[in-house]
Amino acid sequence: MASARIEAIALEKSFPGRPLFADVSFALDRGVLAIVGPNGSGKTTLVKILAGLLTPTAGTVRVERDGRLLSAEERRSAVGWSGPDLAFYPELTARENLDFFGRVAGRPASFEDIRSLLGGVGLAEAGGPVEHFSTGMKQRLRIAFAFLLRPDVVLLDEPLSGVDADGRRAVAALVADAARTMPVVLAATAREELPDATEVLEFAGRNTGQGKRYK
Amino acid sequence: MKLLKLLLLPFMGAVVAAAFLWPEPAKGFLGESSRIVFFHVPCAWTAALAFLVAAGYSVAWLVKRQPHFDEVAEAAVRLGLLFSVLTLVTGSLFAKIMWGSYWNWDPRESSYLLLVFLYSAYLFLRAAVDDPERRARIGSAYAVFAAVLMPFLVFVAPRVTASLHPQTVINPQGKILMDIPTRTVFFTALAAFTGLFFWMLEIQSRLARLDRERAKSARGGAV
Amino acid sequence: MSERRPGFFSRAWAVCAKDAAQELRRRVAIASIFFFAATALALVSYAVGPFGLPPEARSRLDASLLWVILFFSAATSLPRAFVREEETGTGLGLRKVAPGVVVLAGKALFNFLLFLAIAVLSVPAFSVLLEWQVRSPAGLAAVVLLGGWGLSIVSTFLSALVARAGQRNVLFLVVSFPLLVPLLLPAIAATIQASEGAVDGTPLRVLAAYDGAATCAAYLLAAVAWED
Repeated sequence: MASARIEAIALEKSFPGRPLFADVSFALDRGVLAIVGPNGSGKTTLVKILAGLLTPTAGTVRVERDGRLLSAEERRSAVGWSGPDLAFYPELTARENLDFFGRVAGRPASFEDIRSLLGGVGLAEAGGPVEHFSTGMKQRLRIAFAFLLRPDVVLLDEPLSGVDADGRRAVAALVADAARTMPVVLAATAREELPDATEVLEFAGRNTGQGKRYK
Repeated sequence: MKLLKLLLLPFMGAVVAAAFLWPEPAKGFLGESSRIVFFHVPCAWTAALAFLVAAGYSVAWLVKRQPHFDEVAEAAVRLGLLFSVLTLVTGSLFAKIMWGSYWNWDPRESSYLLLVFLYSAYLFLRAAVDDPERRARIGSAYAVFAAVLMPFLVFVAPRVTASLHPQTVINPQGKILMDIPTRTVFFTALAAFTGLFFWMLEIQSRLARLDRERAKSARGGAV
Repeated sequence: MSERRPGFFSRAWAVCAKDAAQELRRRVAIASIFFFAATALALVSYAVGPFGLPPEARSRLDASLLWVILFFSAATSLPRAFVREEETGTGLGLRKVAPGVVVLAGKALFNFLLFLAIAVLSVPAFSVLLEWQVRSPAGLAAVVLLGGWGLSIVSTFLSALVARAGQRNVLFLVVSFPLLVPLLLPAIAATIQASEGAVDGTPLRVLAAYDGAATCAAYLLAAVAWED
């Protein structure tokens, strides 16, 4: 079983005329880091930077597996991510969507793997194209996407939004299970929305200069 | 450098005067119309040079990501647009005299019209993007892509199809078929226009940099 | 576990197959492309007719008309390669797992196959309706293949650039037109040669060179167009 680590070093992001955050640093080997803050505070942007979807204005993100620094290309599959603006192909089914993303990532998942992944988020019975999915179902599919490529690090932005009680239990179980062996980063507007966290990073609000760390 | 800039005005003036006074009009052309070569060809050359400069600075931006490079590239494109429009205008005047109509869809003239479209497309593309970083990235990618395909536009397509255009200075035999006075004024004109281009380029990119720095300090120093 | 990791082409093929699956399920978009081609053909055929053109001008005009029909039919769908990914929000997931070159290759391949499908249906119909003779079918096949690939790779790359800007549809036409003219002119010239039977290879060589240059440039710049 590989051991992984994600580290943020002095991350800063600002858009023209709008500084978002600066000097954000943390390191995580195992367990859950929760990023909490109001809307617009920059949580989603930070998570996307950790996922490699956005480049920071300053600072770096390091992801290591077994002590070796991973390249940007390796991070594509080593870091799992889901966020509220992740969408799926409406004409395809859940299984076809996941199958596609697996193939295009160069790590095709077997029929069995996808079936158990969908089962893990409670979508085992969901047939039909994604365009007919409810909000909760789409959110569960997003969680499945994050775990699809057998990642070493998982980032979940707003993991429980729109999900009913059953779904929340399923997601919380997945997160707890993952956190035993790998770093998991969650982001939400309120602490209560997230499973127990080892560490919490609080974002103060709009145009904040600093992110604070505390346990 | 400042001295060179100061000299450019009288130099250009001398070129213009010489263009009308020194060489004899060329044979095979109507009246004095061959003198257009001293203006039309340098404009065309400058328009193409502008393109190369824009492409070069775009590559530099893609590698180094310094905003200054992108500013120079955009300034070069604007100037390229100016000079290619001038090329078309001088060319049409010549066409009217020689062949009786301003525009003939001749492949060589049309390739410069397409250059005008290309420069305009670059500026149009940039105008559609709000974020400066993304704007620079998309502009640079387009400029470099277009630069790779440009040889086909300017050199190959006109040669594949037959042309009305007079034989160019760089002809298949590789010889320069002008007499000495003409040759002197011609190459001097080329140098003058090139100098003018680089001077205008420097002013434009300096203006852009000042704009950027003013906007930055207006925001209180944040990038 | 040492399973062979899928290479570049199977990943690109996954993108192509996915686009095809989407289009075939939607049906509206594909149908409208073919409908456009059919309408354009019908219009040209009605206006010009098999004997409406003077014989000397026929092969030049017929070749030009054919490429107008092919180009504009394809142009109704070419810009959508990347634009639709951005509009539906699926681009984010794709960007997470795949590098730009893979997605570009897959979508260019899909556009190429779509173009070939349009050509396979339009060319024979055109030939019949306008009594257009093709003395060198091999020459024509070569133009369609080379011209089609150039059209696809350039349009797909530009679609990636335009996808995250505003005013996308107009913008695509504006930015693609100057770059596609050096492709369409030799394509028409080569088509004239194929129809007259006198294929000398020059326009085909120009097309091949253009295709090579465009493909290399798109490959090298794919990451830039794709990143954020």
